[in-house]
Amino acid sequence: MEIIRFLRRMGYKPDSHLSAKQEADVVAFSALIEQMLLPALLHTFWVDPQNYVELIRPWYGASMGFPYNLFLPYLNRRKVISRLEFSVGRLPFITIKETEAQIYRNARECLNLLSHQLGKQDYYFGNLPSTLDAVVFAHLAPLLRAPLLGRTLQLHLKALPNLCRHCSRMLDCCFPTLSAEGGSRPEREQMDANLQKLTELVNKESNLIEKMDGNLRANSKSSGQGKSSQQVPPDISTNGPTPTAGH
Amino acid sequence: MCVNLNFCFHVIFLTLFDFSWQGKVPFIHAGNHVVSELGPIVQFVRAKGHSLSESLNEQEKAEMKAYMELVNNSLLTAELYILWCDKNVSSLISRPRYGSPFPFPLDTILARQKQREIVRRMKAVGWAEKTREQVHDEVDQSCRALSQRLGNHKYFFGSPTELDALVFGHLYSLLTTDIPGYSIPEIIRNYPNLTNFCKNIDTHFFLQSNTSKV
Repeated sequence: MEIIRFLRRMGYKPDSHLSAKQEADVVAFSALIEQMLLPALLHTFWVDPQNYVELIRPWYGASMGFPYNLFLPYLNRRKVISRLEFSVGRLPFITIKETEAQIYRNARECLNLLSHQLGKQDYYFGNLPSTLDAVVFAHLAPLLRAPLLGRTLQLHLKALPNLCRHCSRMLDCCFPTLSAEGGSRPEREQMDANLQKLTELVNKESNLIEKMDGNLRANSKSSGQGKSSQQVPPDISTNGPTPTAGH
Repeated sequence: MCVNLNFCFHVIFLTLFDFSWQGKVPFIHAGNHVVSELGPIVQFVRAKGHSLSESLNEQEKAEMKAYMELVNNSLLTAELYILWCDKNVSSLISRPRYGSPFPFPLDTILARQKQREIVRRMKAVGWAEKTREQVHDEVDQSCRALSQRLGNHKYFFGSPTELDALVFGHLYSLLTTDIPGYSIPEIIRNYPNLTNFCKNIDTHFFLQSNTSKV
């Protein structure tokens, strides 16, 4: 929101096509998202143990250098947990499980409200995107696209097709290169998997060839015919006549 | 319904002080039940058969929810920041008021404990580093949004709703409390429709109840 204020002071006005009431709605719905949806997003990404350990910590760790990747993700997680404590209730009046349940209940209600508000339109206010579309996209796109392991909220979002279409539309409109990469990612993953299998097969074949080569050399040495052993490798590949011991 | 709304307003007016043992205001004490926070109170009253927002359609209910969250997110957080994170205000006003029902040394201990808790909360939501001007900006932005939504109407949605009660509670407290170093009342007075809104509700609901007692 600080960025939006800064840009407004510089003279960029994304909501010039909106009425006064609609501009007020932008502020109100942004506050709604921050109060009701953001805690659940933070919980899904940073507090859910599966997602944090398998996905978020490696992602963030990979982009930070050593030694920051050792402690900065952990510090961020602690900050998120302390924020979530104050978002709903307060211990000991409310347990941790009740807090989490309430957070996700609020998030589901918020997603339903956003879906209802969008209806069948392309954008929230008419045919042009506004600040509210940007805020909604910013919160929903990571939830929709990230390969999460703990996915209850993601599944709820996927069951609201108008919000999914809205995210795809914003992605195509504002980030066309990313949307193209995202489409070919599954194919690339398939190609990587195939390549890996092929590499393993080739490695196994070469190991087998070396073993057989070793065996034959050992056999030929024991028979005392050093020169013929040098001719052995080509004969194996071509299935030519093999030298027999004792000649 | 008038009595219902009046009841809601009286409850929400007590937002600046915390004397609910569940830790949240406002709260009501109805018979054997003690219910705190606006959301549960509204549900409790609805379960008894009274509701202010029955006539609204789904879209209006969504808008009402969004504006209520706006008020909670900015006005309430700004109030807590001003009262407890500002050293001058907390030592002159908040700690003495909070500890006034208790004897020494409990008044100091509880007041300091409350202040520590609120400062932790402000740090968690990112308000602890805000300056006075930033807090004024936040309040100004929320008041502008509320003023734009209210326009020239008497209430936000035609007839009085929970949103009217919540906005009145916060704006009335901010307008009538003089806090040294902050010019919040002047910010609200920049939006004359909000001050008229508060005056209307005050005369319509509270003056009537005072005269009925007489």
